[in-house]
Formats: sequence, structure tokens, C-alpha cells
Amino acid sequence: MRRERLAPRGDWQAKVERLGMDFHTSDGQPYWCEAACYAFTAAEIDVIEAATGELHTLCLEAVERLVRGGDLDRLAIPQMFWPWIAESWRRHDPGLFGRFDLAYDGSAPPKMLEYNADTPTALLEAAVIQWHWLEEVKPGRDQFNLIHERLIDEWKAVKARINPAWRVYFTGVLDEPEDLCTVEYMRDVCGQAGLACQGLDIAEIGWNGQDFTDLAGRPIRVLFKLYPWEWLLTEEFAPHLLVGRTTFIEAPWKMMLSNKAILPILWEMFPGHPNLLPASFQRSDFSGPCVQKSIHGREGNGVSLLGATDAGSSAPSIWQALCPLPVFAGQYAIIGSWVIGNNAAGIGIREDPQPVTGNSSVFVPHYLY
Amino acid sequence: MDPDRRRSLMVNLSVLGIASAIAIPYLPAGADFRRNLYRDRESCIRDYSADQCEAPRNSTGSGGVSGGGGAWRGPRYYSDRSLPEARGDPGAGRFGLSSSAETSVRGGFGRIGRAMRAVG
Repeated sequence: MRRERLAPRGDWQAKVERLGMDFHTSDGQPYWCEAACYAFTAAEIDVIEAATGELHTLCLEAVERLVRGGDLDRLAIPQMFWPWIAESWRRHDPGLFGRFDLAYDGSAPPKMLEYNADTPTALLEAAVIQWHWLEEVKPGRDQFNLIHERLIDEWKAVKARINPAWRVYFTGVLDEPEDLCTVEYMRDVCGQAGLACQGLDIAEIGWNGQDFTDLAGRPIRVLFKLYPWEWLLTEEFAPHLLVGRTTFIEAPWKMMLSNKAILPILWEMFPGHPNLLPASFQRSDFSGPCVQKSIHGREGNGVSLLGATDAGSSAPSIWQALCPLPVFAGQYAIIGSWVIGNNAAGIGIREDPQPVTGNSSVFVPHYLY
Repeated sequence: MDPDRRRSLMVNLSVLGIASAIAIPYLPAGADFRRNLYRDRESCIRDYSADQCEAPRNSTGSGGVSGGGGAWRGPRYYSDRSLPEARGDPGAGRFGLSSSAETSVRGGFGRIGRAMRAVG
């Protein structure tokens, strides 16, 4: 694994905009960064792919155990939703995608930092933008990136499960450009799978006493939502989730995995696993430096690096062993490893001069050499 | 085809490039919509017009007109007629021939997302 510098394409902004990415620059700085790229050997990609598949399997075992135990209290999920979540797992409600954040330097085993299993972002960049970058900048080279075709396959599987007359609705906070892009990309691949699709803003969803509805009052039977479950469960319509007939994508059971509390639960179940980091619900289990993560933190929010004597905040949190990201040319690099359906499907890399990856961390493409 | 390939064979988009072209309709907070229900198409057309009336969704729906399953539907309009947005909608119908109406409450999701964006 190495980082290479290279000259950006002269008209890269126009090229990525043509692919639907109009959030390529933030505060005057490129978010899509093609002044560098990462190069991997096939063996290194094999390691990432195997670790991702293994971690996803561990996560599904953890979900099964949580459902059997019937106690989601440690996940800070309101009790009234526990049976409903468990039922979504038993029904095999669809989980289309997720992204593990991995620390990997090309030699030691990849370590799971967290699993963005509910509303993962940086999808368009990973699936589309870097694929087209490779075609033009590194023709003839390969890339670990089956995301696009696997997503179409997964939507075809959804199509086989639902009433053919139903349309699939896509929602999120659609005046946010990045969210809109992700939602529209998912709508695109859903359409390519042969399903009827329609977008609407999250605030436009209605309730008629029996069903969630679209703007025309039609029942929403299948809804892809780029909106976190932990938010939905605390909003005004939350009680309707328990009686409505909508199939949600991602499924309710995925909220068990997108929750940071899954990290200590995994460590309890699989202590010493080479792809896991020690994690706990108690700060006192770590005598030295560690990382505090708030249970529902997003995009680096609520992540604090604690020194040996730091107590951290009192917010509902878990603590995880410190695993510094590898540094290339002064940039901390994190690997976002995508799971589509139940299979590892590709990676995206983000880097930042700060050790915690956040909203402003840049996306850097990769290839295999 | 290379059986060892690690990337998608083709990445084509059918609607992207689209995002900036999408017009997101904004609703006033808590806006509720209503659609009049009719026993027959003719009543609906008299209140509105042929292209504004929607056929029954299925004949085995939930209890005829009162349940909405077998009813003809007029167009959507704001329940609160004092809203400025209501001035441009079809309203409650010319003659009030509907037998009942169905109401959808809006705005029950999205509060946290909008608040997070507002501070972000």
C-alpha cells in the first residue's frame, strides 16, 4: 500500500460534475482529491476483502444474539421498538449496503473502527467517480470496486421480493447536496434494476392513519431512507413505524450495527479477534490512552482521543483501544470498505491531516498495481 | 471478460447529473393535505375535471368510499385554507359533492435532520 502524487486532470471539476458530484469542493478546498492516489497489491486487497467479509459475519452473529436475548438497552434504543426491530431481523428485511471504517497500513491485519451500516455516505465517490477516474487516468489497471454492479444485483433481489406494482420511494434531507447525490444515485441503480422509483423529501412523508404516504396520498410500501434510524425513532411519526406497512431500506435491524455500542458487544463475543479492537462500556477498562465514541456519533462527531488520565465526556459512550491510522505524506488514511448485500464489494479512501476522520476529510481514489 | 477483475464492468448512470436539476418542493411545517373521495367518477369530475380525478386503487380496498379503497379521488389540496401555499392548489371542489375525504399529516419526520444541517 502506497500513496502516489499525481497531477489532477485539468478539467476534473467538470468531469465529476457530469457524473453527479457537485459537492467536489468545500470551503475552497477539493473534497474529491485526485492530486494523489493509493496503490494496492492484489494480496493487500485480498486481505481487506477477507477482513470485511469476516467482520460482516461477526456483526450478523451479534445481531442474532441481541435479538435472541431481547435486550437492546445497551444500544440506547427505546424499549417500545425492540420487538419491531427483532421482527425485521426474523423477516430478513433487506440490508443493501454498509461501510466498515478500517485502519490498515498494508501489513498488520485491518482493524474495525466502526460500521456505518445504516446511512453510509461517500457512496457515489467510491462506486462511480473513482471508477471513471481509473478509466481515464490509469487505463488497463484494476480497482477494488464492484459496488455499482452489486447494488444493481441487490435491487434486483428486492424486486423479486415485492409486489411488482409497488414503487420504491427514496428519501432524505434532499436540500443537502451530498445527501441528495447519494439518494439519487441509489435511485439510479434501483431504476437500472427495473423498479419504479420516486424521490421525496423526508419532511414530505405523510401519514394517513394506516400507511406512510407520498405527496399524492399513495401508500409508501418500500422506502429507501438516507436518514438515521436513531433520528426517526425520536420524531413525531415514530409510533407509526410500529403499525405501518412500509418496508424500510436499510432495515430496522441495521440500527443495531450502526450503533457504536456494537463495538464492545463484538469484543465481548469475539475477544482477541485480529480484526477487532478492544472496546468497552467502561472507561476504567483502559488504563492508558483510548478513544471515546458517543453511541450515536456521526462523521467523526463525538469521537475524542483520550490521554492516559483523561476521563472524557459524560455523554452516552463506548471506549475503544487507540489504533492510530497510518500516515502517508502527513495524511491520516482510513479505508471505507463497502459491504453490498452480504459481500465485500469495494473500497474508498479518505484522508485528513488530523487523526480523526471527519466531514471535511478528502476522498482519494485508488488502483491495483 | 477477466474473471479476476475486481471492479464493475461498466458504470453507467441513467439519471445522474440530475441532482442539481431536481426541484425539491418545500412544505410549510406541519402541512396537512386532504383529498376528497367520491362514489363515482362523474361527481369527482363535476367538482374538478377529468384529468384531476384518480380511479379507485383497487376494488377490494378497505371498505368503499369511507375507507377510501374503492373511491374516486380528487386532487390534493391543503387542509388549512389560510396558508399562502393553498392559494395555488385545486381547493375543496366546486360543488362539494364528495362523500368524505382522506387526510395525510405531514412533517412528522425530518425535524432532527434539518436541525443538524442548520447548525452544521
